[in-house]
Amino acid sequence: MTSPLAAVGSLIWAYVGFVLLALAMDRHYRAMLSTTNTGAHLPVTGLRLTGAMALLVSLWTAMRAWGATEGIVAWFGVLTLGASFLTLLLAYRPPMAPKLGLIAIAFGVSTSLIETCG
Amino acid sequence: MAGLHRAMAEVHTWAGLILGWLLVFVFLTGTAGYFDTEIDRWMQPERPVAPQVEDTALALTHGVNYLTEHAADADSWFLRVPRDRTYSPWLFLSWSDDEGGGRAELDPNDGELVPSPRDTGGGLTLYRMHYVLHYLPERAGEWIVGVAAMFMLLALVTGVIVHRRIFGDFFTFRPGKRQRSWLDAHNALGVLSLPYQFMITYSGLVILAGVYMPLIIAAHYGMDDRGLPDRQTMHVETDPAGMVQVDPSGTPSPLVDMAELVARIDANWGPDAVHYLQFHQPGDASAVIVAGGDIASSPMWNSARLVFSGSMGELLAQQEAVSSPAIAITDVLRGLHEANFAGPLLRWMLFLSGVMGTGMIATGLVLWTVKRRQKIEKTRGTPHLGLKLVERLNVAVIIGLPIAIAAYFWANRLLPLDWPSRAEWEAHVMFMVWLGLLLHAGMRSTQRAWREQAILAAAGFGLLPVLNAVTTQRHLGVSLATGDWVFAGFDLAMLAIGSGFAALAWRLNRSCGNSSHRATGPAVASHDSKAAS
Repeated sequence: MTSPLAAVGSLIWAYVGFVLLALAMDRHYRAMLSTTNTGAHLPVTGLRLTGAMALLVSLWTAMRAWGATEGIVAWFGVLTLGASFLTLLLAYRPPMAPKLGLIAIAFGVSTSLIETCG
Repeated sequence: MAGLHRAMAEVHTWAGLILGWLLVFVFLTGTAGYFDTEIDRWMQPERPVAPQVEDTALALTHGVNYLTEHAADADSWFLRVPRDRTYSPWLFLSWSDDEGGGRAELDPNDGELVPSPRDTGGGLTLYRMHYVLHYLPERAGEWIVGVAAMFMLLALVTGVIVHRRIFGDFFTFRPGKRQRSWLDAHNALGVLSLPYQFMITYSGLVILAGVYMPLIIAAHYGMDDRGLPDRQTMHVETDPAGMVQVDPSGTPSPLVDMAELVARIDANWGPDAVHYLQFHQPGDASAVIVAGGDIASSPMWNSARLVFSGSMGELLAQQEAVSSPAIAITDVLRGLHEANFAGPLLRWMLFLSGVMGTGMIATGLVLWTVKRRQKIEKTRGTPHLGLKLVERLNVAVIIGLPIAIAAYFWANRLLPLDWPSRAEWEAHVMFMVWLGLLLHAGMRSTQRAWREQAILAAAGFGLLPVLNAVTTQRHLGVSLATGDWVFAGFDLAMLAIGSGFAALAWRLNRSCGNSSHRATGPAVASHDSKAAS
């Protein structure tokens, strides 16, 4: 049985994870923050680790939404959708990507709380 | 290493170019196949919305009653309960006898015969095109698609090797830079959906492995009387319950009560898990009933079966869902490929991945021409015949094929209902329109061909809901109000696809006014160059 809230949560966490991974990349960092500085001062490893963790939360949420077996299949679809959305944002409206990322964190945390506790 | 890299690039380019158009056809019709039964239902508008099954045993009783009345002497019966979107939404019955047999569909709750719909190929014909093509013997089609799928796998592997910056260019699409943009789009579409593209290509090959590698069957099971690999023995060994043979005893005997049978199946599999029943020699004392589980219950194609005696309903044999690792792996790959398990949300994500796969091949084909055009512009040379040919075939396949699919839907509504061989003609219309668009692309300049076909595609898809409203009683207003999601979903999807092509046509129009760009692809990317730089 699919839980729609968890399915949406899984997508949100995938997006959050990809934004963090993109922030660890020079070109996307500059575009997102509209700066010419390099991201050299950033904790690149930390961003990558937290990004990867958000993707794992997305997997866990997908498995809650679709069940363990189907959830793994669905997670690949979620990753494709999340990464494609971010790619389009970075191409046409890069400053929106991190802002949406912050909103996504808030939504992700609240949907996960409602979904697991409620 | 550089030599290897160059060799891989060559293989990628030429394998992709030569089979690209065929692969676009396979990917696009296969992607449409994610909604095959929904398309079926849209193409049979005279049939009402099917109800939910209220009681499995009652539905099966209706089926057995109908078959007892109309096909008492048949050698075998087949009954399928509608469980989800897979297959017919009605209680489906078929039987085989000396005269060839027959089929019928009943309302699962009241047992009434559902009237036959118009003669239509439906979503199934469209779906079958992706692995048997059309106008060809089935085996020939399967072989051609198999060769194309092998090349696709090759193109995927070489593509990953050739792409030096998979991680460096992740999330990267730079619009307005002509060749760069096309390469970015090609890479992004491929990389972001790569697990899907590998899965769908590889599993497609595995499903038809028995066709492509018949000698493996011969090596293990030997040859049959006709000198062909002995598939019969293989099937009996791998799927004994599916291959049950029963000799009639000649003594008539009534069948077990369906409520009792369903209760016994439920005891093994849990409630509402039975998907279909096969009756061998129904009405005879030797009758055997084989029950099959719901194939859509998980990503693994369900091959669990229960075998019962027909008159007493005793459990004779039980075939587990996982009977050997090799069969289980095949069942998982088959289940993943056909995706019967996928609910609406996952189905749309798979559809998106299929569209991205089609887009990856299409952008690869356009990239081939853009690259060569750009070189010619630099050296002020003249385009050779091959380049012109590829440019035109690209238009006819990348935009022409979607238009032809729209024409298939138009034919369903516009061909007179008593038109002879109507279902075949729907497909004829599709291929005639496609041929017409190929000629059109050959006669116009590439730029004009892109633009005109994009406009036609926008109209072809965007006006389908209007056509539906004019020719049936189930227009968007009705389907949305009554919660008829198959019709509403189809119409809305057509509007969305139509809007997509309209946006493409609009951008092509704008970029055409800018004479400095003589790009050979649909010059979508060109006009953004200032904004981006």
